Amino acid sequence: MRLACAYAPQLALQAVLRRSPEWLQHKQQAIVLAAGPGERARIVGLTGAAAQAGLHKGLTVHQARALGSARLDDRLEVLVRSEADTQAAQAALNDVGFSFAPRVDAEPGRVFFEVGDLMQLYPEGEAAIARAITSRAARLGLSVRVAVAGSKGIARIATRATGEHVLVPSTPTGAAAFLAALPLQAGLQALTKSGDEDTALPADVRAIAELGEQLQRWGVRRLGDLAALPLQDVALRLGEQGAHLRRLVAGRDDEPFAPVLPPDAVLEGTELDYALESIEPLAFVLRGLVDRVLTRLSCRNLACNGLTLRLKLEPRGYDVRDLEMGAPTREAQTLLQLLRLDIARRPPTSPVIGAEILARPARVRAVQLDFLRPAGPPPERMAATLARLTALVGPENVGAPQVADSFKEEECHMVPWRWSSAPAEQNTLTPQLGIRRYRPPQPVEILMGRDGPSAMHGTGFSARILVAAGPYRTSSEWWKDEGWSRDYWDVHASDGALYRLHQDRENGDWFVDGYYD
Amino acid sequence: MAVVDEVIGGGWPRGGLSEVAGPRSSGRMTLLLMSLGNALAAGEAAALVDVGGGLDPRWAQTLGVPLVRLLWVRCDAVQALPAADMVLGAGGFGLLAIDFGDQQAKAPMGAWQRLKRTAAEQRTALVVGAPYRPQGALGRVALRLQPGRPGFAGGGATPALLVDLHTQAVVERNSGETTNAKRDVALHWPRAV
Repeated sequence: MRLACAYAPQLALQAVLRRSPEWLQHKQQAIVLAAGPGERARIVGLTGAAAQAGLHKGLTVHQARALGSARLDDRLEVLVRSEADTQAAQAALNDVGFSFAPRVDAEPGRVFFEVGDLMQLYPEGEAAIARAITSRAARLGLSVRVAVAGSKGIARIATRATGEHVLVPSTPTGAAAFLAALPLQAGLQALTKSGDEDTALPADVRAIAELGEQLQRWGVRRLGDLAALPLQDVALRLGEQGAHLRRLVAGRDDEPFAPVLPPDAVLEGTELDYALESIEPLAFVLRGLVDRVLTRLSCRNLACNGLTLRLKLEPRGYDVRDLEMGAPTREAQTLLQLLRLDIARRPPTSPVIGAEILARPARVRAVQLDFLRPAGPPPERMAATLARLTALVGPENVGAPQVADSFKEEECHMVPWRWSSAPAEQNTLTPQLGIRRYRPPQPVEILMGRDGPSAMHGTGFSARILVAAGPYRTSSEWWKDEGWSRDYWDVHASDGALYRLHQDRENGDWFVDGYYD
Repeated sequence: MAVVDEVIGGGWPRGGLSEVAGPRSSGRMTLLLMSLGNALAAGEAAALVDVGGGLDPRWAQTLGVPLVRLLWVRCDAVQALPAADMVLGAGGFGLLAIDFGDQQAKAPMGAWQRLKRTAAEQRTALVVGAPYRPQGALGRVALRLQPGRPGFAGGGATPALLVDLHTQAVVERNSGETTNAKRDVALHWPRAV
């Protein structure tokens, strides 16, 4: 078994940076991540440029600003940690794994997945796989270090080694030989299952620090030094954690691979520093979320089949709206247009201070072509077209017509349209007269004569009635409150048209249902 | 439909625009639905861009149109041409019908040219139905339907009953040429039971 471990250092900081791609382009920018708002918040993450200026974790924002103003040429950028961004970044990291393997094992800041069966796709070897993982993560806005090893614990330590891609042999002796050269600190850091030291439990951090001090006192500087000590004696003096580290550095790891299933939906969210009141700046924020959602879906070869948008309102409350797609799509412009239309139709009642998009994934299926029948629309392009049509005219106006199970003539449904290259139906069509309907039926005033309606007047309908056939009485649902009873008439009017009218017997109002056409 | 096919020389031209103009109760919707039904029965993909959403699915089902395979887009007159352009752009459709209902088909000449070019590229038969022939569309085939003459049974002491509708189609343009000798086609639509 060959496991890859993708490790995203300082995931909380990366999560906030990936929200704004312009920060990712300025790698020399000194940026620090604060645990919360305000000048007293502690620094929990920082970029390389900030570290070079002498800043470090644990300082307050005020201290970091003071140091930064003295030592930095540019202004120090202070960002605030966002739980929504961190969760989205972790989910994106998991998606990196799901884009290579059906099952992954995840922990904060790391994802493990099986790569032993990818050799046919990457005949150049494991280095090519590691490069592909790094590149896939970069597409999702994450910078990762990748290690490929025979087990989880060893892969976890190997990600702390220098170099972007680390390949550890599978055999215990090979793994031990590789780990021997690594500093003790690499092994200690990998003992916590949290990728970020600041997110690890304080008790764990304290226990690992004590273990490190003990080993330092023994003169252990590298993992190879620890591997040379007898296991029984280490276990006797350092307890379970020490024995576990000793077994690991000897290349023996029995930590099981505990796979998780891919999520049913893809969630991306962000919290805003200030409230937004108009649609344009909100659309800008949503564009970023939609782009990230679609990139994550496309990594797993999926498309978006529907969206739930949750806007966090000021001072409290949420505005939640569901958007159904005509067909799965990967076009950001289409999704954004749908969101804009929906927000314009029903604007939020208060300023927006946060947004989350939950995308429902769907697979775009390929269709088997036929030699003898027309190919029909290509599924991928048709999916995008249906989504664009939905954005243009609304989801209730695109699809396939369906006859409603009702006695009301004008009722019908719209169901999702799916092209199928079913065998051609050889039934012959019989031309029959039918009604072009007004939806809803148009109100009209009727002048009654001795034999029925004799003239009609309404918006677009003013004519004498030459022939009136009827009435045909129908009623239904009288057992409910919404029961109805109508008298229908077919009338030939002086404007040349052949109308279908009905009179509501409850209140005597007249309506034009449509005309025969 | 066979009569119309014969007059225009083998059905709506594939990759070209055809116009069907006719006032209310001229049988325009029946003609378009029959065309869509025949295309679907031949295994083609077909779509109806329906301004005002006047299609009656019960009636279409009675005609024999396989509803589940018909793409129906309900829209207003402004959205009709962009919607048609999207459907054509997807490719693979055998027939696309745009029906403007009671609305006049108003669009700049450039929009019609773009639509015709896309239809030609995708080899789709494009049929536009409206009360009057659209300005600037200049289709390869133009058919004008005359107001229908309804037939009633009964009357007098017995209640009248609508039985059928007779209408006439005049081919005003065929194969891209204005026809000097206009040919009348008698169409007979019995009423659906």
